[in-house]
Amino acid sequence: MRRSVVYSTAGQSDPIPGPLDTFSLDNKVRFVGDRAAFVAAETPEIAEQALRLIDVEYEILPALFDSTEAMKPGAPILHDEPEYVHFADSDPKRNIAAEIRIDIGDVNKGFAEADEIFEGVYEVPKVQQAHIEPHVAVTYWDEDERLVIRTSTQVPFHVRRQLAPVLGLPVKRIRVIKPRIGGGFGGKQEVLIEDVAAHLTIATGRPVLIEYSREEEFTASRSRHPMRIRMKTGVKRDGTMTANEMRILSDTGAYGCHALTVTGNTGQKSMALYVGDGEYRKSPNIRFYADIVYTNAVPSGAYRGYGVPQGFWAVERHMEKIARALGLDPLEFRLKNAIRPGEFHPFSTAWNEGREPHPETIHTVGLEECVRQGKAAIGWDGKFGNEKWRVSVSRVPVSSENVTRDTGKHDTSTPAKRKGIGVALVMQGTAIPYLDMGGASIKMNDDGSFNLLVGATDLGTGSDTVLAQMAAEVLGVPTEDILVYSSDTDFTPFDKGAYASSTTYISGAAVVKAAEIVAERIKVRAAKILSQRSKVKSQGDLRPADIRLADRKAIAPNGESVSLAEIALDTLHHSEQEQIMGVASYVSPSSPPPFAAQFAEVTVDTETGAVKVDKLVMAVDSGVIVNPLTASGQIEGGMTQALGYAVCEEMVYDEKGRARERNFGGYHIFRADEMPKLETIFVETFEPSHPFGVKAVAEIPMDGVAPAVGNAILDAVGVNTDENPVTPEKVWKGLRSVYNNADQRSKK
Amino acid sequence: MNLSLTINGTPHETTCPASESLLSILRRLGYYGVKFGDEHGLSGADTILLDGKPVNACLILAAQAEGHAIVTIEALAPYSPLLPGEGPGPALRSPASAGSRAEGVRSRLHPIQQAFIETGAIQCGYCTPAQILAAKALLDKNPNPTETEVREAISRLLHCRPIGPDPWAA
Repeated sequence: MRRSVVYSTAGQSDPIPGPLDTFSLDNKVRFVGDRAAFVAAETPEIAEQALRLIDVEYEILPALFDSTEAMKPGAPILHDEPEYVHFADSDPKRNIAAEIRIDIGDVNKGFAEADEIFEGVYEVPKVQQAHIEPHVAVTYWDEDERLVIRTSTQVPFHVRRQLAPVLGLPVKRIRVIKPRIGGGFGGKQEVLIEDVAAHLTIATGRPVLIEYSREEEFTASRSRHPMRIRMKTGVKRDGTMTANEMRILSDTGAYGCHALTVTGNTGQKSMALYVGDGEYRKSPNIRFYADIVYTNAVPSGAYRGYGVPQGFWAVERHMEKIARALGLDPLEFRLKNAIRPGEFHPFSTAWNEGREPHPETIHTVGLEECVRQGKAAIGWDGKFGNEKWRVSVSRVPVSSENVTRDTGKHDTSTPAKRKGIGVALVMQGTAIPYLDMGGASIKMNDDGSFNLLVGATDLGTGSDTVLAQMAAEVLGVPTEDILVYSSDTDFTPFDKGAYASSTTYISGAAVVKAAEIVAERIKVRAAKILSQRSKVKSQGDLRPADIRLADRKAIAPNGESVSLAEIALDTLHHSEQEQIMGVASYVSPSSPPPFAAQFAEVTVDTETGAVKVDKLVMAVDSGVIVNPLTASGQIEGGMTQALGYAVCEEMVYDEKGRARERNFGGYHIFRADEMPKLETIFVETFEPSHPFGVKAVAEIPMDGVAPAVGNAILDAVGVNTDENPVTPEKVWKGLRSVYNNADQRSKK
Repeated sequence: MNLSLTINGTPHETTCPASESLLSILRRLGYYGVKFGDEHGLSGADTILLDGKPVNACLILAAQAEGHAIVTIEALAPYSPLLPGEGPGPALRSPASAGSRAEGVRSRLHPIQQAFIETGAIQCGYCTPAQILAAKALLDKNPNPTETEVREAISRLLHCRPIGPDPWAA
């Protein structure tokens, strides 16, 4: 084992935009669940027994569990190892894994010009990705003495590149294969356990399987960064935003994997939605500062949404409060200040994950239409601000005992339950511009079918299907004629992997380009065959460009056709033999944001604080939708996951840093049968930067549910919950203070 | 210990430690449709049918399954490649789908599997075998379940992020 090799487990492009602060095994453990030793055995039972026989003597060091203490003088320092490799402003002597300071425009001037300034502090918890298939990897030496790593990963190419130095093998001696896998949600954008199996295969020469238990997923995996977010917003009385500021304290846990980029994304996406209006729109004033600190907690990492759900909890709860304080319609106020087509992404001029920024124009913004259709679907106009509707829930019998003890304010004539409606507007991104690359190759077979090879990594989203559809569309064949093979570092072209909502957009564009190369060559050969075959002399003028591909045929303008199977036989066997094949790659100069309006309808029990979410409507502009079935599956699955973030999911630790939640009994994720009514509306725009006009779908459903639910609770009972999840306890406490305030007012 | 198990109607003689779970032995015998989701059976990904009833394979010992009929997802659409001389199935004979192996295979799927495909009830597919078996157990007992009965059947078994209840309605 080579302790000296320091690396980052974050599966990202080279160079890793974060500190290198991790070893396969270290002489210091930094969280309950960190690695102490590896054991391999013939059976899991023997391995467990061997583990029990290992006696570890720990020298107990002072621990740091509270992120607000991390930067204080005298705080325990987590990373004092000399091998630590900095990235950007990392400063382990102050427990800072990353630091971000972004000023756009003149924020102080913006605040000076505001009529009102609104401030608020919002908190978001640590939550788990909870993919149903745990992390699992198998390693073995193949017959050519190359190390094969077959792993449940979102980033096979990054696994190979990043592990090579850790294992002491050249990249060319490693092959990474991603088979069909059972979900990842960002948890597998991490080179988490492959090194363990690989080290043991190298040590023993034998195949090694490592599989996490569910408990290990909670105690030794990754999670969403918990954050404390301070908002400060300057607004004119007419609702024009003059300046907007977000300051974050983000907890990366014991290691800095994804520390800079997740929290950077929090600001870069959630603070880009509102630019202000009028002259402020031309030159927005936005400040985004963040400190991402080490603590002795399970490391944070990538989790679907990649920092953005955290940001929108703060931004959208804050916007709601401002609208209500100024007496403005919450949707009109938002749309007045929201970004519009043709404007620069405000952050694109200032920040690019620690790389050089490139200004990007936003071409398509379907927000107004999302709002219009979403409002209609949830019946906004009949419900918002309608007290009759709020109390329209059937009355439940109230025991007088409860009433007097809890609040003393209820009598049986007051309905115990109240309804509320809320909204949040959100945006995400589509891939990382000038960086994320996907490659594809397409080869024609004897029968006119095609092999499509992509590095793109289907983690259960259906991207293999969607990419096959895109190739099939260009080549004029049914999808089943496209044989997809993906994510094998030996056989498929490079792809950066499945993250940043990028596969349909980036890898899809590569597939379309490769298919176009193949289609062009097929048309050349088809023109030749048709010209020779035709008895009419004029067919000699048949140009390849006039031929179209459809129904497994190449069809001339006069209707004559030749089947792709005939073309394949001709090109492979009969004349001027050649392999018709195309390879292409794609990098985008922009990250076109999808937009959405997320609506929520809730019923709040005013006696217990229990919140029941009755309906979620999401109207989303994700550009052109390639496959409505898989896309709506993504939206509904995302809303399900986001609802847990809104109302019940939270990872809590005791005073010794031990996880309270260790299984699906203690940590509740929503089951299908518990879900409210879900409605997805696609507001299709055509994104001009993509050949098929697509934008991302995957992450945006994570962003709006929690703030929409929070805003709906405010609407129902007047309680502001600034920390999610909005558990009954928090709502109940809020209700008590609302009642107490009302009580004091009535006494005056 | 020695063990005889009847899996999808096929008898298996095997040996295993007394502590081995049914999940572990099924996967060892090549029934990969049953999945590990968590050690408490709360994800339901390890669902199989034991005498027609859905149970968590990770929560019972292999030995406990002796003498009972074990059904895994593999029973619903056994892999049956075209044998020489057998000729293509009905789907392959229609001119529209000539040459399509995918359609030929698909015609052999169980109606519940077909319904899951058509309604898009699949994201990653990891828990799909469990969902389909739970649906089969319900429908074998009660061909016309109410929505409440469907929800009840899902709730006993499955956590699942990627899909909602709608496909079950189909």
